[in-house]
Amino acid sequence: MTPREAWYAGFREAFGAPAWVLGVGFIGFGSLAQSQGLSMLHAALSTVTIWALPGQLILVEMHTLGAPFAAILLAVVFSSSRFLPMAVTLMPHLRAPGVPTWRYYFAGQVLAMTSWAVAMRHIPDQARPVRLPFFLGFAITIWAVSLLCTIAGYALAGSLPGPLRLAFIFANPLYFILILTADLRGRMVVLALVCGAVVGPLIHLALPAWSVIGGGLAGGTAAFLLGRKHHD
Amino acid sequence: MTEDFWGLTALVLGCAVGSYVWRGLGVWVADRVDVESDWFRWITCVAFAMIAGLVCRVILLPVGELEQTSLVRRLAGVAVALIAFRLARKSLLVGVLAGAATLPILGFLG
Repeated sequence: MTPREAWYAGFREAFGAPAWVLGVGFIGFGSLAQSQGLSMLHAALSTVTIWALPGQLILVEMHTLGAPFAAILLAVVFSSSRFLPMAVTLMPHLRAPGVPTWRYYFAGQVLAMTSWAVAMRHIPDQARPVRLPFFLGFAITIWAVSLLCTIAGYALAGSLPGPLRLAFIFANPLYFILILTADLRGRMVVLALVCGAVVGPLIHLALPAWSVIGGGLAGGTAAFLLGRKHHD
Repeated sequence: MTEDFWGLTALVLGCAVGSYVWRGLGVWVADRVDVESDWFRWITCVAFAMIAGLVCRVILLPVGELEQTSLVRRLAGVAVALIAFRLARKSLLVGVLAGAATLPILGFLG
């Protein structure tokens, strides 16, 4: 596979399912933004620049409630903290000789939970020089589709029937369940998924704001320690 | 252009810059980490556990519109998605469509 073919492979992979699944999520976001009185420009701008659906939902909901600027900023930025471990674990896989550093910083901007999960599934099997092109081809495609879907959702707001909206929202977690369990790589990953699945909801019951990062830290540390104990 | 327009623009951009701090910091750290180290294995565990926890939480304890559906129906949707995915030779589209359609279909059946 040449790097050019890898770009195209990433593009094709995106249209296999991820672009549709994420797209319907952003249709939901666009219609929510419209119903909460945001302008289409702001809805679209948030998809391009923040590019993290949970954070964008927080922004719209808190803005509607009239929360102060600093409180909204903190809540959104806090929810984006998941990008730190995602970027740390993904980037070493994308590294290839002779690639300028700024491309990795750009890859950090287009990184999303979807592209992370897809990359962690496919990239270890690929040759180094095609990994970054594959990732960018994939990530930029779902970024662009999500932007179009934000605008479409904004325009369609109010005309989507309830059952359809429900299926749209439900598609997202299902997609992650399938992609994370499709080809499990290694005992450590299985342990981490199981521990996270147990600990995340438990922390959510006690400290909802901390469920994502706290669940990751607690569940991931437990998995790491368990995995090491068995290894010795 | 109203004051709210520019205020909201500044808020969106501020949130984007704040989010990018995590993204950029991750790229920066990745450049300086040994992938064979325990530290890297630990952060990989954290990343996978974080996503698994989030997804599991959405199924078990949803907020928003999914809250109106029963847990049994959501779990039925997950089971249908997993089975359809395997039957369709790991087609994500088939799995997701079948699982997502389960909720409204069960809704229509009462």
